[in-house]
Amino acid sequence: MTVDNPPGTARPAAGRPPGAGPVPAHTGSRATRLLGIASLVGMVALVVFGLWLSPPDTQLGETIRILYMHVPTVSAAYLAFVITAVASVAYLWKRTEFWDLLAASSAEIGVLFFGLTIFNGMLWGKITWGVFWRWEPRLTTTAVLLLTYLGYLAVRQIPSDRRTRGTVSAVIGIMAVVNIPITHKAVDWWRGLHQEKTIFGTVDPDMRGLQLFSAYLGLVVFLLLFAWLLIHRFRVAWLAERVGDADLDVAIAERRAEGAQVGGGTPS
Amino acid sequence: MDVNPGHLDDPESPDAAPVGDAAAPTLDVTPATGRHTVHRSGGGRRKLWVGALGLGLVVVALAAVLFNGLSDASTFFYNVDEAVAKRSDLQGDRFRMQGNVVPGSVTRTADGVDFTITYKGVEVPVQHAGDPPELFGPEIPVVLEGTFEGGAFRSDQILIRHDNTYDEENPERIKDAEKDAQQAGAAG
Repeated sequence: MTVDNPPGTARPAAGRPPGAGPVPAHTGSRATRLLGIASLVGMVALVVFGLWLSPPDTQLGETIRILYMHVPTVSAAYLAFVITAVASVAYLWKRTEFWDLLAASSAEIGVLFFGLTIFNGMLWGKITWGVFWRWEPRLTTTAVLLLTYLGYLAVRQIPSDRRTRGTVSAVIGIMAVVNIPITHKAVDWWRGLHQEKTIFGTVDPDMRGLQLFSAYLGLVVFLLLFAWLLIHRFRVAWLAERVGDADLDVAIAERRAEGAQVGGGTPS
Repeated sequence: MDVNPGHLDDPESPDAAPVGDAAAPTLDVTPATGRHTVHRSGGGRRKLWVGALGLGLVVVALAAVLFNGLSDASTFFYNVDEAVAKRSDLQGDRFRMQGNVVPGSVTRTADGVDFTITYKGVEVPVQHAGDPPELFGPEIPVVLEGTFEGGAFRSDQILIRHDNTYDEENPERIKDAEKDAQQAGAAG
């Protein structure tokens, strides 16, 4: 079985003789290699700045270091869910596989980052507030948001034809994004335990020097990591669709062969 | 892809597959593949708009429900002044109360700490059972979980309400903090 390479990946080597067997499908390209190296180097720098060079906080002490991951992971997750929503709109409009798979891939990476955010947020909560979890507005809306996107991914697993799957999940992908501004603004709108916004929307984020630098470095690094993961995930999804196509071709050929044997003629 | 077995196909029906060998080669069941695969539609543009409208209504309804459900500002905690104003209603109920720890009011007891919390000039004495969290201290905003008992508030959980202020630690501040801690200890 030969499989086309995903969009954006390098074509088979020019020196490869035709008919030399199936081309190994892969998801790497020059862009992803650069992104991968950049996020790896950035991650090392973040560890150095976040864990050693930046000073502890007067009140929070060493706990503040959780923020250098917490804010970036949630920012990447929000971005991922916004990409899902935009790609879902584009899918309903253009009906192309590209947008459907981009929406799905982005939601998946988004759930990964969002789960990480909740996990490191709970560690922060235990140390700072004294409890892992309280059903306060930010945490409640966050839980709803995670469940919504888990639902989105679950719906995509229901066996159906690609158009139905694409349409249903695009509708969910658009509806679910409404919860992002609600979750984001929950700390302003309602009383709760969670502190107010750390980076975005604060005119004067009360962070300075190396603390502020580490927070923004974390943001850049996690966005690079997100882009790298998203591109690979999209290409894997694309290859999976091609494998599905090939299976379908085989199944059709088999049915046709059966029809020819049983009926002694052409399939009707 | 619609490959009906012959015996289910009604030859009278207008959409029945044409009978005869000539029909077979024209039946193209090859899946459309590739990057620009289009998922083809049976519905029209009008259906899309109706769907979009319905979707918009659902989204607005969802947002309204979420907003109304959460907008009762007292759901998570009462400030000290509000709790005192509603004391007769709250008597015996378990609820959360928010305020700042009055400096110098913290004393250790056999099973926890006693202190006073204040908000907008209203003070309430608190008897807390259990060890206070690490960040607990004078002037720290806290959310207490417990009940009014007579004039005091009996709490069994102190939540530290951290605001979004961060400061780089420096030796001066550490000295200040230690001095505060000693004062708090001396008071108790």
